[in-house]
Amino acid sequence: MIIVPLASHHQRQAFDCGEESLNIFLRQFARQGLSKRISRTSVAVEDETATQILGYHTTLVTTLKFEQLPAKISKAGIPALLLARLAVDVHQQGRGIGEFLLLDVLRRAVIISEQTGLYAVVLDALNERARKFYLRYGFEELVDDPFHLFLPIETILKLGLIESSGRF
Amino acid sequence: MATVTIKKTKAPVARSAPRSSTTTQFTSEIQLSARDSQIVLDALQSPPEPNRKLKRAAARFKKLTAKKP
Repeated sequence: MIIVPLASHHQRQAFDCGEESLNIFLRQFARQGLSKRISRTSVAVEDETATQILGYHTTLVTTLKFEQLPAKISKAGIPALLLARLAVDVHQQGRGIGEFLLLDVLRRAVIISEQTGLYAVVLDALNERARKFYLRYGFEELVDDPFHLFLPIETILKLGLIESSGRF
Repeated sequence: MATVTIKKTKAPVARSAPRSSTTTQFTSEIQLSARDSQIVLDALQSPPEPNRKLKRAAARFKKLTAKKP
């Protein structure tokens, strides 16, 4: 299994993760995000020639803005990688594809952090099930908005995801 | 790290996208409440060790993506 950028030969219409909003996003909006360079969607596929999408993730850069903190921090905010979408096809669940996609996002965060400032990976969990999935991997919760979860880049760096990656 | 006075405010709001939305309108900012700001800054200052599950997942990921000889 490999993760590659979403391309026209990938069968977006056949993808079904059981959550219609995530299906529709992949079918109708993911490529727009790519072409406009707003977001980047990558898909998990069996190999380079495969057209079946096993799962996907969408990421973009965001800014965390603070409240009531020293002005120099509050004003600018801090850059973070937003994991905006992550989904696995219902027929492919139980293979560890979600975990593989998540680790791929963390690896990308490390690469980005080597090129520019990046403090964390952040996400807004779609529902309680998704929230629990990320909590199991150590994502930290917020109190006023418990569906927003984050993981500091320094924590991710300790995983050593770059050294042995075959694609960097 | 400066001490922050916690003010009770209504829950903060900016989301990466509405949870059931199909929109591409991702927000470019996430506004944190005062309490959440402190949680994030504390974590950035003292980043936690990856937990066991994450370390194991990383090991599996590295194995799967390792260069073939």
